[in-house]
Amino acid sequence: MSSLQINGILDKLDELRSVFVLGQRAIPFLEEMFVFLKDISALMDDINASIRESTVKMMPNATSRLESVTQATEMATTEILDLIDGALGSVWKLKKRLGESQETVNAIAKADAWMIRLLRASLRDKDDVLLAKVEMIHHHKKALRRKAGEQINADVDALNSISEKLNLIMIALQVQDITAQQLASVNHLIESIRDRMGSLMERLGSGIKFEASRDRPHRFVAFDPNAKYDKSGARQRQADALVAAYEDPQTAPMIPVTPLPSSPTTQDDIDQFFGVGAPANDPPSVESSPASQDAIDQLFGGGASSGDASSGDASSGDASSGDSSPASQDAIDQLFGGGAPAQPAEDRAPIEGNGPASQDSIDQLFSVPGGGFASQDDIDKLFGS
Amino acid sequence: MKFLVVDDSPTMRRIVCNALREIGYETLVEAEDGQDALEKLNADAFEFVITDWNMPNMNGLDLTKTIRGHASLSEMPILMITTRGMQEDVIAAMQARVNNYIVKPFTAKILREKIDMILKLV
Repeated sequence: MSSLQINGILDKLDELRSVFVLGQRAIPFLEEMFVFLKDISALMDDINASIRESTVKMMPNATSRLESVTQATEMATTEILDLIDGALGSVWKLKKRLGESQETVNAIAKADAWMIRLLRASLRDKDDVLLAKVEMIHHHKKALRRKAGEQINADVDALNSISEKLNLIMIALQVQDITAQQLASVNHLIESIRDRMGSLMERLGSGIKFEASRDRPHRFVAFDPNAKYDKSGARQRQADALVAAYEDPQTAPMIPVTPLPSSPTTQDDIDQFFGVGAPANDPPSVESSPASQDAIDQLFGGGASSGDASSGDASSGDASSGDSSPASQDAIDQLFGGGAPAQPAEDRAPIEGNGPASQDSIDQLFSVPGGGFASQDDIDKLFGS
Repeated sequence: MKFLVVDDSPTMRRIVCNALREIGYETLVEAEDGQDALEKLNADAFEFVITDWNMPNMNGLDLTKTIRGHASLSEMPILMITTRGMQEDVIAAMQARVNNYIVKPFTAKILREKIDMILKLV
């Protein structure tokens, strides 16, 4: 064996020793990595369970309760309308009877007038004393008839007032239809989010098959997201102005269009975000496509979408490809219940049990010098993306 | 005068019908959406249609367009009563050729005014 060969073997042994040294140095890191993964695994289980519960139980419960509220208000409104119909029917009958009474009084007046004419003809110049008494009775009856007529008119006025108030109550019950549409709008939003979360859970391999909310048979889709119970008449005045302007464009500039207060985010806006199209505009298209991840990110205050949110392509998997900036570490720490990241080293709590990993332990794992935070780029590099 | 009242909400149908009776119109038929309305319009003669906008199967806007495109129904007076009060909604309805437009919640007085206006013009 030549010295060259021996040197080669020694070099190999040196390399082998380096590998062992590296292995020895890596062991603590791997141990900590193991602890971290154990912790993160428990955390992910918790998150998974939480999402599953809200997606499988809480959201359907919420929509079901909202639907039952709509049904209950509709039933109650129907009962009130039945009572109003009954009351209006009674009012109508009373008015009819009062009308008949008035006719009777009028008929009596005619009969009395006829009778007094006959008596005057037969008693004049024959029995003036009796005629005077008859005239006195006739005037008294006339006064009584007038009083009866006034009472009937007063009763008719009172019944008209009751009828008017009942009609106003009936008109006010439009609030049921308007609130039903508002609740349907909220339900639509919840179901859209539920569908997205269900789809996300399936993609994450939760093993749970989610029933898409759009498959539910009683889903109520025809609603106006901007429905509001506004009795000011401003919206009607604006509509009148627009109708007038449309019918006669010459007068259009002269018609003031009352500026309405801008409404908060509408269902249409949300639908546009989700790329599903507004069901109110297009009720026949009940089979709306699911919202994209970008849309959900935007809804929850994430970064700006690249503008393709309306594509509704849930499978494109381009959630990270947009211009959206990554969430800050502080935000993530807060989300996971972690402490303040600027905590001094001596106060750093060790990772114990299933508690959330501290920023320090993460920093140590990623060997970030000076205890600073790993950037999104660092994390991306680590995960090879 | 025979009215067809189209609304998916039974509450609203009753309210509109009661308001019409209060005004003095007694011959009223109800339909629960645009599709149902078209069937009733094909089966019977009506002189006035009052329709909601937001309905399943066929909405009020599509119903209006369908009626306007129908040879024998194209001149039918149509009054839309809806919660939709945005400018673009009113314009869209006028472009679809509704005769007039009421924003919910409405009063019997407004209903009477609009019907009178339409009947005066027709």
